[in-house]
Parts: sequence; C-alpha cells; structure tokens
Amino acid sequence: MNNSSDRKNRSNELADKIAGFNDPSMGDERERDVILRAYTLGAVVSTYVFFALGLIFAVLGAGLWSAFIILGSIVTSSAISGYCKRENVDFAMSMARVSAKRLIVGNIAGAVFAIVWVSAIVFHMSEGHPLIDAGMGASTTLGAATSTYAIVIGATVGFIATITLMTFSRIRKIKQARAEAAAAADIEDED
Amino acid sequence: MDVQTSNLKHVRKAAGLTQAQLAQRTGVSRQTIIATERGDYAPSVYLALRIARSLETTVEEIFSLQEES
Repeated sequence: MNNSSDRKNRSNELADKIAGFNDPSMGDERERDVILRAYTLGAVVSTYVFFALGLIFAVLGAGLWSAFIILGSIVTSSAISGYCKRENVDFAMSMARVSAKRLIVGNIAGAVFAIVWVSAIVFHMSEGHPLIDAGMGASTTLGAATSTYAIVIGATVGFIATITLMTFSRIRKIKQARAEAAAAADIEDED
Repeated sequence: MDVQTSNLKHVRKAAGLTQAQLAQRTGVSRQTIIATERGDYAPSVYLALRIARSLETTVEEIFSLQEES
C-alpha cells in the first residue's frame, strides 16, 4: 500500500499559508532549511525582546502594566506548541530532552529578569516614582491597593512554583519516553 | 509531475517490526515513523538510508517517485 505525500495536514494548511511556507520566497529545500533555522533564531530572540521591553517599561514607569508586554511572548510559544500538536509532535517531550547547560542558562536568565523586573516595580511602589521617570503616570498596582512585600512574595512564590512545575513536567516526560523505549515491541502501531 | 510515495509500512511489517521498534533502531521518534509511513514527512537522505539498513532493504524499495496520472 502506497501513501502519497501530497496528502495535506489540513489543520496546519492555514498556518503554513500565514507563514508563507510554500511561497516561492522560501527557495529550494536547502534555502528553506536555512530560512526556517533563521526564523527559529528570530522566535527565540523576540521572546527575550518581549522580556526586555517589559523590563524597560517597568523601569520607565509603566508599573504592573508592563506585565502585559511580557505576556505577549506567550503568543509565540502558543503558536509553536499548537503547530507541533497538530503535526502530532509532542513539543513538551522534545523540550524535556533539553541539555543541562541550556536548561541552567535559561533558568538563570529567567531568574535575573524576574528579580530585576520585580525590583523595578517595588522601587516604583515604595519611592512613588519609577527608576527613570518618562512621564507615563501609570499606577503600579493597576488601581488596587497592594503592599510592596506582597508583590515580592507573590513574585518569588510564582517563580518557584513555575520552576517546580516545569521540572516535574520534564521528569514526567523523560520517564514516559523511557517507558515507551522499554516497551517498543508492545506498542501498537498507529495508522 | 512526480509524486513522492512511501511503501514503508508494507516493508516494515514484512520485516516484523513495530513502528516503535523501527523508531528505536533508526534513532527517531515513533511519531516520525508514523508521519513517514503516512507520507506526511519525507525523511532526509541519511534517515532514509538508516531506515533501509534497519529493514535490510534498499531506499528505492521504500521510497519512490511515480508519475502523477
């Protein structure tokens, strides 16, 4: 029985159109490989740019509103994991295989960012003005009364909880991969 | 115009391997083998060679180009 490769995965056809995947501008297969790797680099860089912009706006006086800029980076990661899921690629499983060095560097970068961002917010709240006053006039607390310590404690707890959940998720995926490898002869084929 | 076709499922079953076993032997995920069998994914030259070697056959027996009718 032959399977033709011109059968399309309909759920990603729209995504591919948006990305211009089959557009002539993608070049031949080698050029497309290079361009796709370049776009991957762009996605990683833009995530850190979102973080940096959130930090800059927090320093300039946007207060907790700067969190919305940081949350914008979730759009990129959601698009990536959604595309993978529709192609039957377990993105979480792939991420669980991250090298220790990359994991440590990523966690340190995240921790440094979180500490600096929270510090900028706390400074704004306690001093009544941002580190660099750009005249944004934003409330640090989005209108609600919140103590400085609550922000620091909340951010710390949130960061620790995130790292813990991510670690458990990684360990679970690694165990799942090992169990699958051990039972390779027993896993039923999928059509 | 040529259409890429995959006979992988038939060849794999004839060799008595599951998708998971072939995936292990070739160093890819089971989902990659599934996608290759369905024709949704065209493997690289080196992966195609590893698949053919694992199944003790040739690349041409598994993957071929056929004239679109």
